[in-house]
Amino acid sequence: MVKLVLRWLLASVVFLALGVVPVTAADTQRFSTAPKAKAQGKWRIGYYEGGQYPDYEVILKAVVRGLIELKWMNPLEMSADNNPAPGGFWNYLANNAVSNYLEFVPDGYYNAGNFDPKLRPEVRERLIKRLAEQGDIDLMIAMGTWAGQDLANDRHHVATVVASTSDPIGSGIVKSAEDSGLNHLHAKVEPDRYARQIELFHDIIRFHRLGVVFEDTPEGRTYAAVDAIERTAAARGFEVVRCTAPFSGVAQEEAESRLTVCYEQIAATADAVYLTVHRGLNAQSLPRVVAALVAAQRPSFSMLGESEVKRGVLMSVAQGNYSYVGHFHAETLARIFNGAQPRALSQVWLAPAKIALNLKTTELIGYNPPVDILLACDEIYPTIEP
Amino acid sequence: MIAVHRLSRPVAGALRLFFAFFAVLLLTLALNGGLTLGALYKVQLESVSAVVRVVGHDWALRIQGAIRFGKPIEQFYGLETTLAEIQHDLPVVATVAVTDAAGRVLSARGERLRDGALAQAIERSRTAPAGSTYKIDGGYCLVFPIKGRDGQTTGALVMVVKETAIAQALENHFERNLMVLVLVALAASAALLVGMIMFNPLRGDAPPSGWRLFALPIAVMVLAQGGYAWDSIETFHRQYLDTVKETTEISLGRLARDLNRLFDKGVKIDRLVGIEEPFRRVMDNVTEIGFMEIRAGHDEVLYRVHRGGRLERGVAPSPLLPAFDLTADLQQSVDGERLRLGSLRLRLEASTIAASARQRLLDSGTVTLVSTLFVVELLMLLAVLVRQQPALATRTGEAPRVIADGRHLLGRPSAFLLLFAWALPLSFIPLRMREIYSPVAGLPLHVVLALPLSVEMLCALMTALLAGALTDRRGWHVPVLAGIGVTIAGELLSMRAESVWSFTLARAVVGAGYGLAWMGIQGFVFVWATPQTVARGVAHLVAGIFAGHICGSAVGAMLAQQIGYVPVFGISAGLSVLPGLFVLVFMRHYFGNPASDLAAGPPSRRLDLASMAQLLRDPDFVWLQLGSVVPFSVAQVGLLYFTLPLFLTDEGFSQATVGRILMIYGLTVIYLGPFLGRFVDAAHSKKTFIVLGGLIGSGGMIYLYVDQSLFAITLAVFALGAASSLAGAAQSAFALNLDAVAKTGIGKAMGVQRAADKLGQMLGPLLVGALFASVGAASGLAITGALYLAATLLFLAVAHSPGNEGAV
Repeated sequence: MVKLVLRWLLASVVFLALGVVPVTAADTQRFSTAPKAKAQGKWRIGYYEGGQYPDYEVILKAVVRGLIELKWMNPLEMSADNNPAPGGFWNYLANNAVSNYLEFVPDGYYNAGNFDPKLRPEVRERLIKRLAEQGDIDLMIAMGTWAGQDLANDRHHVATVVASTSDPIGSGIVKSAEDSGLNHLHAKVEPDRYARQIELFHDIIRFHRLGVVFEDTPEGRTYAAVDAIERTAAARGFEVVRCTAPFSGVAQEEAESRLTVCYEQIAATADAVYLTVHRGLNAQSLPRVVAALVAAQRPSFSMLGESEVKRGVLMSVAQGNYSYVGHFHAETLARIFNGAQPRALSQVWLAPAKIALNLKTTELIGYNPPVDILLACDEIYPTIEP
Repeated sequence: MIAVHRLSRPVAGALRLFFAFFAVLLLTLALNGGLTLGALYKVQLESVSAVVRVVGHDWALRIQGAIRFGKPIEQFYGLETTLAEIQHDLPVVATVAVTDAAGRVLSARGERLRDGALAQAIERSRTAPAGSTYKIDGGYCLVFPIKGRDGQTTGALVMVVKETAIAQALENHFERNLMVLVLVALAASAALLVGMIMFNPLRGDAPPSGWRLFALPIAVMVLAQGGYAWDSIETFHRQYLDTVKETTEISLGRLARDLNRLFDKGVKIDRLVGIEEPFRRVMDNVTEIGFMEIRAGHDEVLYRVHRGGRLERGVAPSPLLPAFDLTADLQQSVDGERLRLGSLRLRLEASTIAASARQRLLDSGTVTLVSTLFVVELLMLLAVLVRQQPALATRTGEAPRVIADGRHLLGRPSAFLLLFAWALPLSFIPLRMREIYSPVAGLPLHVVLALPLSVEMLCALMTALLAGALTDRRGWHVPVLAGIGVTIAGELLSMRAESVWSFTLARAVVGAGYGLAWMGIQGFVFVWATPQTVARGVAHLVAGIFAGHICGSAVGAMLAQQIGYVPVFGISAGLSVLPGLFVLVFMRHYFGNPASDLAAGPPSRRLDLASMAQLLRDPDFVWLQLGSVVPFSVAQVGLLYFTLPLFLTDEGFSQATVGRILMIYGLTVIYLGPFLGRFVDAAHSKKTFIVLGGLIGSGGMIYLYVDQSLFAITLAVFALGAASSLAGAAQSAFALNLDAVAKTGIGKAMGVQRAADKLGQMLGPLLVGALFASVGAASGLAITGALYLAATLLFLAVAHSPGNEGAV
């Protein structure tokens, strides 16, 4: 009798230990990334983006490459250029991706227009209803801050991986870097990423007035890391020269033109400019912005990275290419499909940053970078690409 | 085969002598060869380390710069490429890795290491001096800390060089040097044999004089040492120049490659702002560089940066000096072609190279000196054995017998053998402690590192007191043999000790044994030397102690470098048997006390306060301690072991230079002491020599107030050595003639004197340190000298010479 009781006690302890002890973020490494078939059928993946921001498709392609490297799907040829049609690339994926384990659901693509605030609520409700009631999607990729905000709630319980957000904590998507706050939610967090960029820019240029353009909405402020800028400004004693330009609820052309006007304005009033992520700043508008900054001989720093430096922004320290972050998200997907709870996986990501400098820009604005900075650069662009 | 027993006595004797000298020659050349080959290895390791340091330091700074620019070390873009470039720059590096602050490997290339090996090396690097090299898994590890943006260590760049790489690089030098050693040994042996045959010192009936006996072997050995040393100096010099060439070529080549990369990306050669920084980094790592410059295609000097950071632009170009200049082309890739833009040049400073070459000459000279000391001590041992005739000891109650001459010299070889064995591990006891260190009792690290040595010395002091009473009660041989046994046990315990406390305890045991043994040997000299020879006996004893200490430390350091610390404790234990054997075989007839002691009546043999009080009531004995023994020890330790290392290293002198200056003291005592000892013995008044010693020693220190040059310091050290030679032997001779000493017992009295000596040694650093802190180095030393002078004058005024000081 005693032996029986003891055995029962032991079994209970083991059971409790296995079942009750919460799975911690340290368990990230416990879950394999190896392909694992679903019990029945394939893992069905959906996608939601707030608009057609160019980086979204770049990152999605990086995630797909990551999944290919992890052997979850067969190699797939993908165009280097973005598909101009909204959801065009997703359709391509749905129709051409070959995998024994997962599929990209053809009607699993959602967008809120092109950051259309009027469309957004309707799309959100439709998507959540599907996720909550139909149960035909196993995992959602939420690309961007809008998508992350819309799916970060307990109205559904489908695993959601949020990518390409400037500040998922500041924008209220996740509770903290260590805890997403919701069992089905995971978002990539890069702590202090933008604060480091601004500190570095200040270390090199020693400006007193830093110009920033952003949309004065909660999302706009997070895209532009305004909180980080203001914190750093307070700590370092420089002034922030602000100019607001909308990107949501306006046509693309209007977003671009109002942004350009803002940059022209702050080029005259600030002594250095930080180019932040904004829907109005793209391949079309960037040359005009660069021209304004060069004419005013203002040093500039790109939040986004070397793609803007190539085209005339003075410098940047940002992720070299999206392959690393794509791999990070692919591993997250793989672990979730292997049974991990999204909340249990580590969200913290430190981008392997590349230092880029445009030499032509230095000449035009009369700035001579010290040899040590030149030696530290991973990329030096001798010309300004159109 | 020659049947020795059929040869005539002189020939047989000469052959035996030849074999004895041959053995000494071989031992000495083996020692010299061992020290030199060890030094060659060390120099090669330092050379390789220097090259690795140049590259590693530069790369660590670059990684640090990139981290400062926002690249996180955990996700450092391009780290793999960086590590590949490092291995390309340094083929001798077997493993290169970047770790985080805790020692976890973030990225690595090359041979795999044992788990945790790098973390261990990084942990040790936190407390060791910058630039240290650590042994790790059959290789040597260099750690370059990488600081984050907040100045805290965020990681480390670690490079491992295999031992086999060092040995391989050294192969040619080794083989050549070994060959020279063998040739020198053969030539010296042949010269010795021929000399012995032609100038047989044993020819004739009269016993040979010292000079006749030893002139030839000394000449042969000095020439052999000199010849070998000359070749070694050449080797060291070549090694040094090769190192300078290699480090400068690598530094120049890498910088040129980096600049070319910038030029390929469109950077202009005349727009290199802040070029002083990369130049300064190169010059910080290669001290022989005088300046670096960049010239344009038509030889116009665009930038010249001098050591110290001064930048000149557009200065007149200086002509190329092929022996001192290194040049690398600066190029740009244009449409697939390499276009020459200019050149990068550095100029080596002739004076710096000459100074380094002199340093190596001195290093080689030091090796030769140590082996010469060894030769002299071995020949002394031989001389003692040749001269020695068995004297007959007495036991209490037996009739007195004739006392033989020359026995006062026996203390020297026995002390030399004892100190040689004991001093083997001395140079690395704190280093061994660091290896097994773990925090204990909340003590700071440096206190724990100092613990074993301090405890060892303290135990030596305590047992020295005990040895005095034992000498009086049971005879000098008891503490000597017991002490040797305890020392052997302590060294064996040191081998096995793997924790702070067990190692400290082991050293305490060694200290206890050492204190017993050397006080016992001193007791032999005091008891068995005649009043006419006691001063010489003490001088020879001290000479043997110093010679053993110097040779033992040097050999121990060399052995430790080759085989590690732990086995050296075992060798020390093994070699500690030798003094015991020497005592048992050659001094057994002197066990106990001489018959003449019996006439005076037995002194109190108990270690009791009454006899101590009696001794301490004797004003002459007390003034001897207060006026000479203690002040001299304060001055000695205060100057030699406290001031010198601190002051000279602050002035920029190397540790090797400090060591060499300290050796002047030892050499003075070893060679001047016995020479002056005969005058002390011959003099009526030992007090004169005590006062003379005090005047000379204090004078040297007071002079430092007006002149703190290296020459003045050397002079002060020599003066102190002369003071020790004059006063040291005279102090013992003076005390031994005091009635109070005879009543108390020689052993106990000398034990008290030794304790006073140790008291002065303990007070020395404290007093001098306090003076330094309050009035500065020069004034502090002068005040110490003035106090020494005042004590000497007080001794002169107050103390009385004993009635019979045993002069001839």
